[in-house]
Amino acid sequence: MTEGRLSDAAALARRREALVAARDPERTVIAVCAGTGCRAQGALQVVEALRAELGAQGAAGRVEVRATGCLGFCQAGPLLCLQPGGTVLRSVAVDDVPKVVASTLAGEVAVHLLYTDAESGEICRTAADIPFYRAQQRLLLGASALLDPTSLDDYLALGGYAALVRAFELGPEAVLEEVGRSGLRGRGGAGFPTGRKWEAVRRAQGELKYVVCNADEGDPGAFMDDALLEGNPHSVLEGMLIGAYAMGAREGHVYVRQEYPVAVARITLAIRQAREAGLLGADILGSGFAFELRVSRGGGAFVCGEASAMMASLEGRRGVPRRRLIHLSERGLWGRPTDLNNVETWANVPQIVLRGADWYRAIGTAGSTGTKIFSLVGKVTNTGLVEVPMGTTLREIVFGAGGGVPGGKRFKAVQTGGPSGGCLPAAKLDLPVDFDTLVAEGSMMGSGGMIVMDEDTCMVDVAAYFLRFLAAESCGTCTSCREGLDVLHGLLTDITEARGTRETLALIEQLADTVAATSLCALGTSGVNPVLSTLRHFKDEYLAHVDEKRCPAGVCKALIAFSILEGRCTGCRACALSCPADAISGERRAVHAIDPGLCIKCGNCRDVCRFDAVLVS
Amino acid sequence: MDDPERQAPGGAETSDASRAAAVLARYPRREPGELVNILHDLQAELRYLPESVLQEAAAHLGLSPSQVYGVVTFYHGFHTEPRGAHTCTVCMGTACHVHGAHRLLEQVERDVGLKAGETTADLVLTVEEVGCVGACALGPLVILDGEYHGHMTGDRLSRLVKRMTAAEGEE
Amino acid sequence: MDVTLVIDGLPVTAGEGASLLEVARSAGCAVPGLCHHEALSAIASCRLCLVEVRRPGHDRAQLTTSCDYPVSEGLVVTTDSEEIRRHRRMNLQLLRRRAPRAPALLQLAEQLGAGEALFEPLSGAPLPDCILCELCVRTCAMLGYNALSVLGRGDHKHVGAPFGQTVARACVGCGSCVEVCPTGCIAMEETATTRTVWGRTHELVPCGGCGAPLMTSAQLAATAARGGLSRERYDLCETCRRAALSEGLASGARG
Repeated sequence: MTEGRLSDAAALARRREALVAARDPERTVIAVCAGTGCRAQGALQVVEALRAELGAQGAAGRVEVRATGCLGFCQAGPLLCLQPGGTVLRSVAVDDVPKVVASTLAGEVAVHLLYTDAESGEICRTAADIPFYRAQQRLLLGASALLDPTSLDDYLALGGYAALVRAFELGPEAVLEEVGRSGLRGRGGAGFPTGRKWEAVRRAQGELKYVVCNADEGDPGAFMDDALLEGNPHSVLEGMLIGAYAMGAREGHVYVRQEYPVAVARITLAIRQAREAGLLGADILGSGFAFELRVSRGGGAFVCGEASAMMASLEGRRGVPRRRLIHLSERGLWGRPTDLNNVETWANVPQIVLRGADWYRAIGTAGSTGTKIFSLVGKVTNTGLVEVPMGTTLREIVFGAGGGVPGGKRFKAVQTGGPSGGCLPAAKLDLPVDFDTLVAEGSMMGSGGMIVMDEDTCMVDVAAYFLRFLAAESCGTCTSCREGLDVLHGLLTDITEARGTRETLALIEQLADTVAATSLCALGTSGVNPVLSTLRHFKDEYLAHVDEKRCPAGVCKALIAFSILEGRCTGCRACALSCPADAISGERRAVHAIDPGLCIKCGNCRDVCRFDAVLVS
Repeated sequence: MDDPERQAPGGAETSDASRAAAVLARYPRREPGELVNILHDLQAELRYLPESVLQEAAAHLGLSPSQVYGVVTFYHGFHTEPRGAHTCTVCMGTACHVHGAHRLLEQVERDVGLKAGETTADLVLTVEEVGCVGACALGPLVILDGEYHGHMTGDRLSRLVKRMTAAEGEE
Repeated sequence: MDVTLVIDGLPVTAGEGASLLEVARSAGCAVPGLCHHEALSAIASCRLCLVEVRRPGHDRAQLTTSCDYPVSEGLVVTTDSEEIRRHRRMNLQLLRRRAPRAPALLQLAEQLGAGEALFEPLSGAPLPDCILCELCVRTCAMLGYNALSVLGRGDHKHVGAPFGQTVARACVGCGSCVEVCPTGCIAMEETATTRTVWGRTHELVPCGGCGAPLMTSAQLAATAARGGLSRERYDLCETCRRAALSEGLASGARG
């Protein structure tokens, strides 16, 4: 265990050497993904069971069980990664533990738990064999498998805080230059050049400056920042230290949304560990640089992901954004120069400083350097976190790493950029994903949420969903956003409930124009993107709803009817028992029928029917 | 004159007051910027935020009660009414929505006779929705008493909620 | 420091940093705006005071609210154009769903040629006809009573007393909120001896000089408490106070 303060770079190097020397590279480690997704699938129970079984086998000293952060392959969780060798075992349950332990101790592989590639049928042993991982370049997420996120020692042993030492050697101006030259742009969605922002804060007037880590990650469907904070919190901390040093900031805040309790705990622990080791506080590593960091929790408001709203929240006020005629880099938190960067942006910094801007520029595209983590979810086979170089196409992500759309369904759209983004159809799949290309098509890359939709997704319903979300999350200050988004939601609901007309569509466009042009902040101005992008790329679907009162995807309740197919129904009564409206009648073993007058279209019958006998038309 | 009335401290209030005081004592610098953190800690201690406690927090930080209450009502994470012994939280993130999350919410609302955000009169169950909890690959996801359940169906949710609240009834 | 800018083609001089809305109005331009008050900092809530501003060295003008835009040297401002009117009309229509009967909005609708209401009136709001401009809350805070709060957010945002009360304990019934409210949605009733606002009836204290209703007893007590002097020093209306003052000066002058 790391004990005591590290007084300078030499002490850090010695500590690192000692840690590395004390670790046997050949020692068997079973890394168990304990990210939020795998925990929800019982990963912690698997960890406990592994430790108990190893203990029972008298092997607790020989094999380490390491609960890690998110390893990204949520579809295959609970996921195990065995070192050395890198064998990956998927969907491991507590019942599988005795076999896993037995095979590991015998130096063998539990073959039945290896991942099989659905397309080729090939059995994959390591991550390099698995298409989901093969398609990625995991500069940021890769370290998660190799360390215990609650251990500073692990981070040090892997080379942690060497970038900070390098930064001290370079001096603040050189660090600024390196980060600027790397082309790093904000990963929270806006894509502002990080170096330029840091430069502005450094040049700003004022003795006291702040750095803030935006870990609010409010885009529904996005969990990249959660994975980084849960899996490698020190990498974010180190990035903030380097940035604060370069900018001359003495204090920092990590603002984590309250819906991420594990992330809050991990970064809080990391800060405490860093403080004990002298990596936070006064005279860090003898450099003369002093920096303190605090964790603040969000209160539950998407708008607080907006920089000025976040600062209002940090000041103990309602999370109301303000217009920025004066940049936050000059007057931000408490009216002082403030740099705010996203978690993923901070996580990129140590590698840039250590490996250099030229190395970083070689990855990605000229305008968008480096990698980007995407949260690939929805109607896609391999759901999880995908880290790829900027410029990778949508097709490569969805059909390459993602393995395409499951269940034999047809791809319909991919939604990126969260509530500020848009939906793109199949025709746009060959677009490279970066900061600038998707914008021309009415969408944006955003923070990395990428939701795949298939033929069973109604795009009008998707637009209505986003507007409902945004109307509830609006801070409520400006008329255009507060009223406009609510009215837009109402108009879209009209369409999904068979009351829409061509006039409704015209009014939507007119109103969206004003909301986009006159709202106070991006929640309003980009909040119209989901509806405008779906109108642009899926006009036919809107027209079916308003002209024919038909929902092609079979989603909008007012426009569909549930019925039972005579040819398939076996009279098993499952549907009748599951119906909350008592709308299904029929004798045992006889074909059942749904009374359309009583049916509330909840879909329970379709869920429980094992014979695919429920038709939605 | 029209002095703001102060409620005479009763038994429950005193215990609330002392627990609140213990939380506030952890913030000796009394910085208004700590308000949201303080509200989280108070709520963790008392499970909701009664008026008396918010008055104490306001006094501690030198803020008006109106200001503090405005902050409390702005953020959906804070509750000014007592909550149920059990919580059913339906994730309404985009990935969960695409997998039918709204149907789950409708199911539980039907089952229990509540709308999202409400608590049963006997304080057994609170039903709520949340924007996204980061388990997006497992949609639709429901959190029952802190336990995450992925790939949920309406039927299974009905049964699990019934089981969760039946335990309370039997006590 | 004074700056020169051009508004609707005419040169205007103003103090640097002054509110563009106030400067434009002083220059005679009719820029609508319901949530602005010279004594309070702007929150740019109503979105009616839109203008187009071109900054020196820039090619294109930007559409912006003017209440919260500080003037600086060389700005070129247009306060009326087809685009400005289009957006003003739409925002007005959005406000009308909150306050369909408010005279100020009906008047504006006519001036802007907005026609009939585009949207169904909102129902179920705790304070009907409130357009959430927060003038009442900000005024009450400025006066130091803090009896009003901005509550909730988004489409559920509303103003009112904290803690679910109809009226705060701190409310002294001064009626300032009623005075600043642009839609008249806060009900107030007065008799010779009482004022009822936010559902609470206050006793009106008469002026110690002429006997006309002066202020509520609660307000008098609060004022006296703040000033640290006795009530009698505050219970004169402005006219009587001036009379007493000039009498005092005159008697002083006489020695």
